[in-house]
Amino acid sequence: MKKIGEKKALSPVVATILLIAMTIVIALIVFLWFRGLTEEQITKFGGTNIKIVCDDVYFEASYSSASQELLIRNSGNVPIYNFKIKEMNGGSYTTNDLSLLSDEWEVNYKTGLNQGMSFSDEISITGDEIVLIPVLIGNSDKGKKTYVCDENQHGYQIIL
Amino acid sequence: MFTQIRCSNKKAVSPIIGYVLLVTFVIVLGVIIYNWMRTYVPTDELECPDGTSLFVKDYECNNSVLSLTLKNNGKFNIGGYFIYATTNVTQELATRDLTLYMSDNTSRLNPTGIKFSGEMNSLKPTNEETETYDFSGADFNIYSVEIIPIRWQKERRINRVVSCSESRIKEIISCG
Repeated sequence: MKKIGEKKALSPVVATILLIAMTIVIALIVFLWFRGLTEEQITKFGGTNIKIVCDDVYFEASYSSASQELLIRNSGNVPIYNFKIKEMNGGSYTTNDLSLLSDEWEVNYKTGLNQGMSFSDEISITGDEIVLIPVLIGNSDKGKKTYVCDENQHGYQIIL
Repeated sequence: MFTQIRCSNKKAVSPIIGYVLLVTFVIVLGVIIYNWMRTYVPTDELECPDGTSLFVKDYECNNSVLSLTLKNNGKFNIGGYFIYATTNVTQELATRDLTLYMSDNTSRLNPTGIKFSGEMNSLKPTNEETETYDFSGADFNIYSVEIIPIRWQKERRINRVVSCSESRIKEIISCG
């Protein structure tokens, strides 16, 4: 039976190497995690986070079930790149891009609905309620990137 | 052989290196957090001052030519306006942009909007200006117009067009 003082452990050199290796690995994990957080940032208007810009979006819209015409007017100061249209029917819903539903948008609004611009087109909607959610475009480390504003805060509800 | 080391004899990082490491960590962390958070600092919203107001003093429609007399009845200069029309009786939101029908094409802004004649924000309080729109050849009638005043305001040293959506006006007009 060995005494406590005679127990062999790792040599100081191995222990130091292990410690340094662990430190490097942990630092790398933290760095990658943090980089992931910061890379997702999208900015607009010279460095303002796009989430903040969403607060300044202001548009008006209406939909006529009779003529199936969707009207949108950008009355604010922020260009709107696209819209998500959330169509609700009973308990279910579907979400589509306006650019996919409207040929007019695809042809004449490729850069979006700029300040002061208005849009109208016939779009078939069968649900009982729609929500228009603005989509903005901004700059990120990886280039231009779109951002869908928060539906609860910036969605425009139209009861049909 | 078991040897006991006293606490006071333990060697650690020297106080100076400790301080240097601490300060370095704080600076690095500060820079990282600043870069991450700076985009979240809200800037002042671009909006027209309270008291910006424009109204349709008079209008006349003859042979598909609409003359609108607009008066600045607010407290601040106005630079121009966005103008939209409804083209059927039941239409709730005016979306027909009338910019292209403005007779004086030098007043048209790109992509949309009308600028008052003169310098930026040229329409002073109590002043008025008559605008002419020619709808001959247009395949619609006008039932109402909505006008949103605009102003040029400086933001980060850049003059930007600001839409005064709070001061928009609607006028029932029959023309076409």
